Amino acid sequence: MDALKRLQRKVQNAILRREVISDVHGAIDVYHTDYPLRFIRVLSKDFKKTLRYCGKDLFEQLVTEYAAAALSRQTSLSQIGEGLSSFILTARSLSKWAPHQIRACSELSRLEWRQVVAQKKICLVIETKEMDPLRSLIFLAPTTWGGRFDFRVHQKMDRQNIDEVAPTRIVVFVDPQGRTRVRSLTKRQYRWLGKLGTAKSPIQLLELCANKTEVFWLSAQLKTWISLGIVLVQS
Amino acid sequence: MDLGVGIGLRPPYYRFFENNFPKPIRWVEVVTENYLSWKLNQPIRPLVTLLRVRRNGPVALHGVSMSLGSTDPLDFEYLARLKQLIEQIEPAVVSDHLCWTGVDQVKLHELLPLPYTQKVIDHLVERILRVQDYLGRSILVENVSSYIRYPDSQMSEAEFVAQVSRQSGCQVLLDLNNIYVSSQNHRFDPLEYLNWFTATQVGQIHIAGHIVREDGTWVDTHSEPVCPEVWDLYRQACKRYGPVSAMIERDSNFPEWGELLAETRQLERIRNEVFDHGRTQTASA
Repeated sequence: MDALKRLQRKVQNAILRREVISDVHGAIDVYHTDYPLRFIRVLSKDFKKTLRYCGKDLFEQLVTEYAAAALSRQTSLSQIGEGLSSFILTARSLSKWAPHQIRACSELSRLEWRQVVAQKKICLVIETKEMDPLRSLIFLAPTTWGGRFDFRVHQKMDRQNIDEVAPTRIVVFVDPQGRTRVRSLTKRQYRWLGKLGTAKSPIQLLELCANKTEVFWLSAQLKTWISLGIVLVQS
Repeated sequence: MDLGVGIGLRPPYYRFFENNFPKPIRWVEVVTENYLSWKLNQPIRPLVTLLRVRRNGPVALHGVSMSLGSTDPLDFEYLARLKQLIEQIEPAVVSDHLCWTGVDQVKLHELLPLPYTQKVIDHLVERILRVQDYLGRSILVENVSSYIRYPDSQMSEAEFVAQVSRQSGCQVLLDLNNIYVSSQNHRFDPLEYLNWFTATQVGQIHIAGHIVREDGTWVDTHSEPVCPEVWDLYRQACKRYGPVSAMIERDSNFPEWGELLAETRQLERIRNEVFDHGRTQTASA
């Protein structure tokens, strides 16, 4: 099988380097295009805010560059976003940006990746038979959390609520011990946290929330939450 | 085993299957990798949905990562996770593709065609038998659509696929859209392709849609309705092979549920027409 291995290596390299080779006839460019497209399709979903920050064209350039550098070695592309944040710091496609812009983009994508990871973990907890982590949260007294923040876990939360329309304003996050945490918010609190969607960077988000009495608890908590990975369940 | 008419179950259509299977659909096929745990023994989110669906009818597991034609060693970590999923779902069918998806541990996430030679047949047969042995059950292997061909090939694609099936003893999942797309790209007669297989060799049929690029390359996208030529091919397949499980595959540009359902009805209509006609002829004889 040595000859087949050599041939497969040639074809693989040609696909990754977008080259035409004489060992195959036909439209190899179909595969040239498909490989980065799969990355773009997956990462556009996982990094919506980074996409918005970069703009569609630049994001696609960035991901195409990333696809060539970060070869996939998993059967699924679901983990492929893990290295994007650090890749951004040295990406050629962003070389015209100011250093602070590149750092902000990298930080934003790091936050988004944490969200993706946290959301997957949370959905696992919600959807598997072992509901104990959530059930135990329900029985925790609000005072356990300290401060003024009152919380309750929505009783009807299940997979369909997560996939389609969430029943209430909930923040789900992973605490420093790696446990799933769920908190519901008042409308006002939620609106402020919702600014995550409009802020151009986590730093700007913190600035937006700073010194607002109605969200003082948020400004205190947010920094930790951002570093740990917040999951917003939209209502 | 003829399961009747089915569809490729994808997330937009989950809700139609949680309580029962809507007629005329009698079984569903899912993409194996979407339900595999990341690591062995780790639960995964969509599996809960699949288990609910499974309560209502037969499920087929259709994989894209076995890479039977690769020269890398078989990925037993992947196969262990697949085996675990098989134990959980008890699928009616387990299938994958006659292709390679990468080498040197790289995954291109593409179903790449192989050179059609006896050596490659031997390589595939040996690996199929090892996979079946490990899983403790038979698998079906699907013909892929192709945009490239290798000058070293010594036979047609149809002969190659038929030989793999004959020598390994495993049945073929015949994708009629793949045959049609490849026939347009490589200029062969799709009907002649069907003649290489006997009824006992064909275990399942896929029907799907495709696009034609501006440069004239036909690409299997599963994003469009089934074209008339592929429906005709299905009619011929029914005549040649008799009743075989058949399904519509749609993976992007998802249509409204009613539109997809209409395609499954068309599938059923053709089946019924061919088999009723066959029965009438037998009776009058």
